[in-house]
Amino acid sequence: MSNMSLEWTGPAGPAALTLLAGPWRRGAATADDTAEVFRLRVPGDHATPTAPDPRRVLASASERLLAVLTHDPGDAPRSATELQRALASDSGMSTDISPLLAELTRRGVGLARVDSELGRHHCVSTEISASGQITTHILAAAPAELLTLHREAVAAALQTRATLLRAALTTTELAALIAAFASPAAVGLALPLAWHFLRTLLSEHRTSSPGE
Amino acid sequence: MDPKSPLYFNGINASTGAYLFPPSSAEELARELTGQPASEDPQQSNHLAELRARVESSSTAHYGVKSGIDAGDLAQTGWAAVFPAVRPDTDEARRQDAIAEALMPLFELRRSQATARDERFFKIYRGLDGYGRTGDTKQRYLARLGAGPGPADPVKVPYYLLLVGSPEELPYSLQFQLDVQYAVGRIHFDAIEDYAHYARSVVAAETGGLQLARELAMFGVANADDPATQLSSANLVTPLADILTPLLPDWNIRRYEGAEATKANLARILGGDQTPAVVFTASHGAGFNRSDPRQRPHQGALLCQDWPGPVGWQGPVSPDFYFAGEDLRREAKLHGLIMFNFACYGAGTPMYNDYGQRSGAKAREQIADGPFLAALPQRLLAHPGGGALATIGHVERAWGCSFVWRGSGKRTGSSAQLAVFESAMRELMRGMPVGFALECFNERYAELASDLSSELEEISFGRNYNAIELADMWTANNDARGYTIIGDPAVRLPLAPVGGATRRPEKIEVVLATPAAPAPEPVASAPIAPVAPSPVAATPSPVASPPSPVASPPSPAASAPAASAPAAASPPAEPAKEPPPGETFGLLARLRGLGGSGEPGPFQLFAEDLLHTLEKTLTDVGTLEVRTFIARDMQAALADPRHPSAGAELRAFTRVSLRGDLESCIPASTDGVDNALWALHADMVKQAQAHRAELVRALLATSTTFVKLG
Repeated sequence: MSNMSLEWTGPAGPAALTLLAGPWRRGAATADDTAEVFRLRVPGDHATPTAPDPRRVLASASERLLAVLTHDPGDAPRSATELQRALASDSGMSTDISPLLAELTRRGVGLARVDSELGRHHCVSTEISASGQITTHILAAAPAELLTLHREAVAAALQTRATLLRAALTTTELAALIAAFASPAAVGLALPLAWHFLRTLLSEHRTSSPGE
Repeated sequence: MDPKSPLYFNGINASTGAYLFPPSSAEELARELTGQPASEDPQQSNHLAELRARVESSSTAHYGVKSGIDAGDLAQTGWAAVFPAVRPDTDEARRQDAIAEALMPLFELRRSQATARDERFFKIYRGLDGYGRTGDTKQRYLARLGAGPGPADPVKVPYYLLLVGSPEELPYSLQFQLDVQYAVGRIHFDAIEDYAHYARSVVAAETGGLQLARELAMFGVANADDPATQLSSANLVTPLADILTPLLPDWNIRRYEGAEATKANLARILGGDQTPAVVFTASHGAGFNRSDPRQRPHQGALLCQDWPGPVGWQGPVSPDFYFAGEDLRREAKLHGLIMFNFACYGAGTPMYNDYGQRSGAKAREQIADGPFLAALPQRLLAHPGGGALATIGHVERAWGCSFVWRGSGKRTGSSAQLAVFESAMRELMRGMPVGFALECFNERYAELASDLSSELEEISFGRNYNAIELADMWTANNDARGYTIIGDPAVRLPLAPVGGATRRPEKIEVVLATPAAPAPEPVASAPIAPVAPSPVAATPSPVASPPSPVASPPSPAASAPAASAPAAASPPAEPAKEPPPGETFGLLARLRGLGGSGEPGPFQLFAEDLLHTLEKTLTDVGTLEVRTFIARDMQAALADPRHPSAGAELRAFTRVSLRGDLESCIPASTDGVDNALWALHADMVKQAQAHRAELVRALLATSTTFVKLG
């Protein structure tokens, strides 16, 4: 049903986060939300939307960068100037993205909740703790069909969390690789360059993935 | 020697106190042997042909692996794990998934070591590539994987093979046969958590933090009125210690012989205040009747000097006389130990008596409900405080002909033949992987089996035979094949540099890239990382990484002195230094500030914060708990999720331990189980497990990169 919605109280940030978030669209957090909330609103029968899993892109990112650095040293960033040039096209991107990455990491391993609502009734709620413990509350009158949807919603939420964490970790790994090759003066640009590289990959992925 | 004089077989039936196998004469034994029909089993014929080929090629120095390969370098030999074949979506498959997950740190470590040059050198044979599909024999199995008989070719099948499974799933015969050309070890534990413990122990041992003193304990029991242990004490333990002492001047060789070989002293050696790097024991192994409840937990336990002997003690053997797995103390400090046990059933027990054909019976005697591994090595390896890396022991009974060869003493005055033991110990103690160190035992098995088959063939055509020689050959053949490794065959001793500081931490700590001083030497003190690949210092890396802070297993060729070399030949090594508190490892130190200001830069601050988060997360994911409530008022139920209101009723609860054990509680009701609720709960459990696995994978991958670059 077209009225079904998937909302997520995720962080505002670069457009790449839209892909990382999978099927979830950003929604407002309520004042009393202590956890990151994924909210499924279902007016009736519906199937949850799906989105390509970007984790495979993230998983290959390190290898691709490593390949570039290894096999084509001419392209390897060697100086702060080159790194700056590489970042030049990344307009609007802060050179210090560590707060964003820290936020992604925190959300990747932090407390989260998946709520499923049928009409105006809050029917199912699953809390995922920082250490992965799962507690689910089901309204006694919740229909079985909603439980099925809720299971899919939890799966999608967990995938999003894993993807966010992957993104942060992959960026950090890439930055570490870059830092290992860059001149000392350019080390400070390793993180933004890694993020830039990752965004490029995600953009390519979005372009090449039908339905995006 | 009189052919009618009795032959003594090692082993005590602890259920009765009598010998496991009554002494009999060589003549009787030879008569039984020659009366046996020739084997028509094509698999056996193929195996004999392979053994002969092995003997013929043994003049080369390459043993099981093909020419030109350094057996001490996993990047050249490769490494693989072999699981039993299981059908997908079965309980067996799910258990195997959990085992593989528990072993992931070990797999990642081996992957990083084995794939430094070629990605094909690391393999996990699971699913359809597992062993045990219909019709599988060793040769057919290897053929399925792309390898034929002959020296191991790592491109096809890696040289180091870790069997992950019980001897019911991966038979002992497979291990014996693979061992002829490959370096094979096995692990099997009842609890999945124990796989995780073992993986952590190996990873921690090879990635720093463990610096063992060069100490060897020789433990030789000589029970009163007992020819078998008096033989092994006088002809194996004592002379072997005598041989090794001058050859290994950097080693402190402590002897526990005769009256000193007590259970109390063994407890001090196995995790107590006298725990060395290597333990060698020779004793009876306790055997039990199939119906005896002690068989599983105590079979293969080491019978110590406390046993008064067959004359002084009649009846069942008291546990006070032997050292079993359950005698290992919880606080034992075993980490890094490698143990060699010469004892019956010291490594494991087959289902059937391997020597049953001597009785002339048509069917082999069943001696156990099923084949199993001895509990002592299992407990040694899975010790949660940091376990042993490997044990070498015997499947079935161990025999004196392992070290005494009839008629060989006329010229030298001694019948002791210790070259195989000496070679294995020297290779082990110079830091070579245990699987390679034991190759000389496989050489001996191949030689004996080839000789025996030729002899029996000639006898079948009417040649006269010498009863004693034939009995010895047969016994020695069966004995030689039984030496097996419990543990990863690629492990090696984590030794401190000669003259350097030693370190055996109280317990293994999983620390993700904790700050440490950059290590100037390949072997240096460093914190333990969960998945720290062995930096392939001797292997050119495609990336010119900075020196790794993580201590690598010393390359024997590069860093360990030759066993026979005098101490002066070894360059003096710097004592290992404890990492100063607050010191950062190489990469973070490099990231510190810009322009040499010394202040931490944003990347360093972020990376340190990230690593702290990852470390905390990893330590918190040990046990998963999944709860499903039914609520009549969601608002009230969610007011404080940690303390559900009276309106919420717990309907299903599952706890999943790190080793994969599941405990589920489902309240009974008159309506039975709510299928929809249970389906959701089961799905939550599945997702929680998958999420944890993904989390751990991601965190370990990142830590690996940091450690590599560090």
